[in-house]
Amino acid sequence: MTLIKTSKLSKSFSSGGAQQHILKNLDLEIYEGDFTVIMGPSGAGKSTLLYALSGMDKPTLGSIQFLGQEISKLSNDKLAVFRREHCGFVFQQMFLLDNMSIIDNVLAAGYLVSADRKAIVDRAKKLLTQVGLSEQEWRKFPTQLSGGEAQRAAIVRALINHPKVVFADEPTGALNLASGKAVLDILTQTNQNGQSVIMVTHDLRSARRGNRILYISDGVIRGTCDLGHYVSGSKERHDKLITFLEEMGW
Amino acid sequence: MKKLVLLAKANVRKAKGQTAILVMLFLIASMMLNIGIITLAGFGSFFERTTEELNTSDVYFIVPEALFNPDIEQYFQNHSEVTEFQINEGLQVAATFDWRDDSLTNGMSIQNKDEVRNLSQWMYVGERLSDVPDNAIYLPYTFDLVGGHELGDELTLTIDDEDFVFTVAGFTENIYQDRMLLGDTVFVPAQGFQELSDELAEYRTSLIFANGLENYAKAVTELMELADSPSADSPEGLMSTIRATDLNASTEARTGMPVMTSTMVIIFTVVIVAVCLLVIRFRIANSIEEDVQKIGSLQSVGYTSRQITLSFVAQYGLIALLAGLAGILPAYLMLPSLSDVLAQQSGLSWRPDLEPVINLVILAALVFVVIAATFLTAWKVRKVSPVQALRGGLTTHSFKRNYVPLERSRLPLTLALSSKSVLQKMRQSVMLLIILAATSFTAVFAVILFYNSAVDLSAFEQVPGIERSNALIVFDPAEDTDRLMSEVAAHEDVWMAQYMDIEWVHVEDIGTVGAITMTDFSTKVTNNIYEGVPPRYDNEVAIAGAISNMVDLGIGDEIRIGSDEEPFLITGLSQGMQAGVLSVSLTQDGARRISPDFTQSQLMVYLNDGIDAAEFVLEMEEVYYDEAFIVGDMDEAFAEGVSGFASIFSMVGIAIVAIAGFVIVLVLYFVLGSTVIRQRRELGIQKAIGYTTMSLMNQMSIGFTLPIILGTAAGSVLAALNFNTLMAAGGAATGLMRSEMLINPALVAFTALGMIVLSYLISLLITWRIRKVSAYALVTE
Repeated sequence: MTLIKTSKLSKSFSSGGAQQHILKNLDLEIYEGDFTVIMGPSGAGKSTLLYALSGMDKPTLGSIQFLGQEISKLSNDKLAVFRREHCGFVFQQMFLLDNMSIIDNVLAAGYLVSADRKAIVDRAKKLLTQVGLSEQEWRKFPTQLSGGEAQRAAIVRALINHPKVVFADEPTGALNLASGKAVLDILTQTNQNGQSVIMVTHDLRSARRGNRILYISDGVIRGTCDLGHYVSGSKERHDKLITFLEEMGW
Repeated sequence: MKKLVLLAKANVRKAKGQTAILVMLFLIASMMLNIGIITLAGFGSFFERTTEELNTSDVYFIVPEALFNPDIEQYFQNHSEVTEFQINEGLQVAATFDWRDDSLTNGMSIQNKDEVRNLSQWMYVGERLSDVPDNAIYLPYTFDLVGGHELGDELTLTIDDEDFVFTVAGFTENIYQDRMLLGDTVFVPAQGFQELSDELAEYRTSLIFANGLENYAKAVTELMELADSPSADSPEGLMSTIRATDLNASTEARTGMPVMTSTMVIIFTVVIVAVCLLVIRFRIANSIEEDVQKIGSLQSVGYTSRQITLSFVAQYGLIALLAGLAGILPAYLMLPSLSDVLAQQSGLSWRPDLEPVINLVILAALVFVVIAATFLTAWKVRKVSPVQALRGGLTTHSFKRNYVPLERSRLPLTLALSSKSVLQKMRQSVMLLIILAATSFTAVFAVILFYNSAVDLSAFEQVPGIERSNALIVFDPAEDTDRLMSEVAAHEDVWMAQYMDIEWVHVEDIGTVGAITMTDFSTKVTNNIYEGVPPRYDNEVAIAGAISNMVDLGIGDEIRIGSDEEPFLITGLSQGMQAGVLSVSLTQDGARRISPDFTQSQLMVYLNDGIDAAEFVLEMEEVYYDEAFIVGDMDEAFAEGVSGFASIFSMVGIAIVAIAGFVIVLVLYFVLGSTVIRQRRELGIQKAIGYTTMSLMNQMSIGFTLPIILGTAAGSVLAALNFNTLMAAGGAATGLMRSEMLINPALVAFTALGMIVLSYLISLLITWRIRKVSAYALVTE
């Protein structure tokens, strides 16, 4: 089932008087339940595409439909409501609120959607426990945690409202190998639990977690690759991904 | 040095809006400080200089011609203390003349313009007619400023029902011009004076100006002993006694208000400067926090903490210097207006001179406090290590406690997040609270001042301490004054009549002062006793608080009064200017212990509600044509006397309220604006996870509102509770020891509420820029 559908999606920025066309007439479909990975060289428009799909930014031209609802024309506040109800975000820099404890970071997102505070608190604790954060760590401030721990907390914040889709922008970019793997495992598990994930990455290890790879270059989708569901250590999937990326000029 | 300037310039460029606000705040502070101090120092030195230039004598006697004889002149020639004296001619009359849109009856000393004077000279103010008409008259400057008389106008003086028409040929100034003490002093050319003198011969007086005399009350007593008895057909009352005043009394009466006004302006400015320093402290702390990585990179390439600190010092020192300089010009532009308002009360045409020394001292002081405050705040840069700074400033982001944990909070989410923010930014909240407390203190203070001087003047009228009767009748002491009082008291329009006289007495270690004398002080309408009780027996006295301070004697102590140094027990402390700042209150019997011949003659008449004092006065003039020397309309005199003070206070009040409001707007714009900028990351994150602009605006505004409400409430309550104490402290120069101005709780609450609403609206307006904070920009910046 189509989760997101774009039609002639374009995004331009003007910089120093010059117009830069980042996304060019993209016609694209993202499917529910997929772990979609967007790859491409630096400056290709990966993050721009991710944030346009998530309602974080508005396209210059074209339309974006989320479960059949046109979101590209929504006001900023309506987009905010849309995001809180349907989207979860995981950023490279985590972007946790420094002045709140970890659990408060999660609850600050959860309370926005649900009036049942007890249920939200219970779910937050359950998710935090699931990602391996102890109760002692929930009470800490983001700056008191390691990068990996903070990113796991950020994933919990992204999941607290049962979003239709989790958008992840280079979620392992600022982490060491072990922490990165732990984060990817959580995202994979999330996807395996039925949650759609759309992730931007330029890291091969991360990309392998997806079942569908979109390759974007110069603002245009150059190709897609269906890897099938993630299987740990699958050489076949790995080779298929490498071949695809080589074809795309990676 | 060049590096520091470059860093400072970069900081200024980065925060242009905030720099502009700081410049405006310092400009206002510099302007007000210059206005206040130039007025305080300038008016005082102008008065002293004018006193010297005019060679004003220490003491001034008015001796009716009927009493004058060669022995009196001899007295001054032979007196060991008198170093110099001079006798001039004058006419002491009660004249009625036009004043604004009404007529006014007041004492007037008509003097010969062409008479040569060494002591107590006078001078022209402004232009005068070059072709002097035969009926020329030269009036006190207040006639021009307040009375509505212009050069070349016709002026009619009605004296003893006879009209004398003059042409206003100029305006004058002399130190002893004081409507309250001796009446208006006017000058006419020699020929005109001679004609008047011939026509009003019974009002001729000798004006004696003397230097060196220490006890002029004693001198009056001694002179009265030497004086001739007035002839049977000469008018008595004022013309039957020798009156005197001295330079101190005149100085107090004429400089008290400028001193009080400028003191208020200076105190208010100190509040603004303190607010500026808090804002700078806030700004620097923010700069260090925001730019911690930049600071780290500067440190890593070799800049020392001292250099970085000095760049802040250069930045804010430069702002203070430039704004301080810029504030000088508007101060000089506004001073003439203030001078005009002060002149209405003081009657002195003070034109502020350029005061470069004062300007420089103020500028230096301003720059110094800013540099000191900046240095002390910025010096914490030394605690920032390059590594920590480059990693994002762990040192400055040290949240220690998770206030209002959402897990347990029952508050609505917006309120919970606001409360969390307020508590976490306790320093900022406290700073905002202090700033609002300080500005609301001054605003509420000014509103109370305005209310009392422009809306309900009932308490303000009490400040001079002058008995608030509606009419005054000065009877011939030779008449049966008790009978006359009974007659007046029985009049259908009168609810009370009582005698209250001013006697001149000598008080130990002080000199000559006025003594308010009554039979029974308990029936006095205007209470000028602020501590203790008024005298009841002939050995009791109440003394002015100012005297108490000077001689270090208080209630229960004994003080010696009169030439024979009679002992009196101090029962109370008084205030006000009924008989000058330095005065005492004595019972009639007490006054007779000092002057056995003392007779009461000045009757205070209190009219029933709705009775027109002017009409009553006309009636009394007819009824007591033979017995009364003066019948005065006190309602009119009060309106006239109070209006000068009231207009100054109401003007100062309005100015302070306006500036306080402006300062609040600037400070909130500064603090809230920079907080929005500083928190754009957090705001961006919150937007990304689904918070709307309005919810974030509310969250931030409510967060600011708590310290705003607390600060405004604290400042307003403090102002209301301390208003009268501060007024009394500031008004000491005018004899005010206890102020009992009306503090209207509803007005205070309304002002505070207005400031809170204003603050909230400003905070909403400023936080409206949150709409521009984009979640997307957060990840792309």
